[in-house]
Amino acid sequence: MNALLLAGVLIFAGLAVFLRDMLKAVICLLISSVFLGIVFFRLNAPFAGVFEISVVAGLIMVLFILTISLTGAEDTVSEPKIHIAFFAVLFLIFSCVVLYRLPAAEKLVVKPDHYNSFGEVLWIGRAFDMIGQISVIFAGVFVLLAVVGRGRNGK
Amino acid sequence: MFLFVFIGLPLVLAGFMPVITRISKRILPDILGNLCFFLLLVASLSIFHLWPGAGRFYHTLVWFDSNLNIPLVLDGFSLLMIFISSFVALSVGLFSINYLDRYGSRTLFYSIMLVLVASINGIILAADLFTMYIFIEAAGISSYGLVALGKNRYSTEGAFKYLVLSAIGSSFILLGIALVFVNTGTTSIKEIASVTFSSTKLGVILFLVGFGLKCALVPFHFWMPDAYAFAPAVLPAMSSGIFVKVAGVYSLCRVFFNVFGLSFAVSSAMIYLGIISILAGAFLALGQTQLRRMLAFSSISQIGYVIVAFGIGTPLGIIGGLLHLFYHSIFKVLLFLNAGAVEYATGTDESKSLGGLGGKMPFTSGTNIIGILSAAGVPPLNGFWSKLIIVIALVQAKMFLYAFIAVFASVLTLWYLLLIQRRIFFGKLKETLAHVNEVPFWMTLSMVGLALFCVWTGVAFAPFISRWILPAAQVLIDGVRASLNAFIIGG
Repeated sequence: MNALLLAGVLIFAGLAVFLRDMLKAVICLLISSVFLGIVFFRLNAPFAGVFEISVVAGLIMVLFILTISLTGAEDTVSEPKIHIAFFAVLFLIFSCVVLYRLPAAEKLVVKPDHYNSFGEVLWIGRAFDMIGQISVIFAGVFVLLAVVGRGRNGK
Repeated sequence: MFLFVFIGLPLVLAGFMPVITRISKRILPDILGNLCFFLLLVASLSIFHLWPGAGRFYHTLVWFDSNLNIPLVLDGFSLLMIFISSFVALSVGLFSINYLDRYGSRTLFYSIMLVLVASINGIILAADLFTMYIFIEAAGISSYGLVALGKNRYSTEGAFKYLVLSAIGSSFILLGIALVFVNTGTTSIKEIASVTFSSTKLGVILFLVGFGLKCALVPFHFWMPDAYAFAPAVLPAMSSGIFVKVAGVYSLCRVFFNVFGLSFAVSSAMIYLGIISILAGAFLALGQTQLRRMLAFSSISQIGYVIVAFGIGTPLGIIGGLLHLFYHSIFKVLLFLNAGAVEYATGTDESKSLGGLGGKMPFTSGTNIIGILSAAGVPPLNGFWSKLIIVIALVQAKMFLYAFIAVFASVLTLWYLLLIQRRIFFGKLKETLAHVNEVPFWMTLSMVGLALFCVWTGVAFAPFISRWILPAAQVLIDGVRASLNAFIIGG
């Protein structure tokens, strides 16, 4: 199952690089992040999973989508085909190596700690991290407002 | 509970700021923001007076008799950093009262500043590497917000570079933490220190690169000049004054002194990176004509001194490093605010378009000279003592070439900073600048306060070292033992 999820992470991450349409690329990155968050949960790292899904898949993606919508879609950049082909080959090799090594990596996983449920991890195990997350979310919201302010003023 | 004020108060106020300031968007944000920074400064001084002077304390937050499992750590080093953070935030906050007339929403600015201060205090008080990482991210995003408040397209470019390179640095730090977690099964600083665990080469490299990017050490420095050159002056002041110091230098020292213990390899790497930064920063600053860009390169050079001093690892080196860390925060904030004042009054900080402003802006010119002489290490100002101690520590460690480089770079610093002082403030006033006046009251007050503090900490450096620096140095000298022998209070 983990191998399948990780394959999903890699495929959508790859699509995020290859797709020319910025919005579609960001959505692929979002799906990749959600898969990665699930992998974190399955590998007994629930707080990393929560952070990945809420901040990376949530907040950062909102920032990206907002920036794309403000800067306009007409600024497309075309990459030379040779670069894309070279990257595709490298990406394929990397994906194969990761998937091949995954069973060995899973053996390294630390045993689960004494927190079982999602709520326990958040509010008992990593309460201080939650405050850090609140700071990240506040910071993200205020940055969004600053960026939107610039957009409104046409800068 | 008292310690949590440093994180909770600014964070709660940041959350409520957009609502509260609907009553008055002009005055209320200034009052609330600066009142909060002032209270944090008073709180840090209160703790200092209650402080026994040694040891490392863990404190768990208790709310209505229930343990919230929020471990906070306090020692001489974190207390010094909390004081610096509060002092710099208040200075920048006071300066912003007038400066923000040019930069849109006050509510938004103070909200971002408050989150930045809360996050920086979170990094300082965190007792866990992962918690530290989350607060580093929060502080990084807030800093990005301050860069993005700039008015021209170059500030956007700077903000983008800053965001991308900051994210790369954070990724390296996160990978380093992941490696530690895989090897030890914990991210708690105390528990990692108690496990017999020798950091792997890869882990050390990851942390060095990650924190090196945050500190803007050469060769990871290229984000700093672009981010600082076109952002509102309060960003470089906050970033160079506290963000770089806390997210970069403080975190690096915590990891390499109190978690892993300083090894010979890390010590050597820190010295090499520091020496390269001292030289490269000074030479790159020489060719600059824009004030804030020059100060950015100067910051790279000065951070190099701090890293070299910590890299020596001797008690004298650590004291010199801590002293320069603190003094650099003060004089560099002063210099960046001076640059902001010049830009506020004239619309630019490009020295080619300026000249003869000394008569028109006597306070800005006078405080700028004090900042420059402090940065160059001219006695009896504060920068002199910290650089002197670092040079003596280098000589004591028989690193004569590096001691020579440190002195040589100091002369270069004096040269390029005096050169730009002459171009901007001395000589004949340019006709286009005839209308220029001194900056308003709060900006002047902030600059004069910082300049006086530079003089005072230079003249009264001995009691300052014994009361503030020695307890902080002791924590780093104790290394891993400081984490292991920590007391638990409260909770």
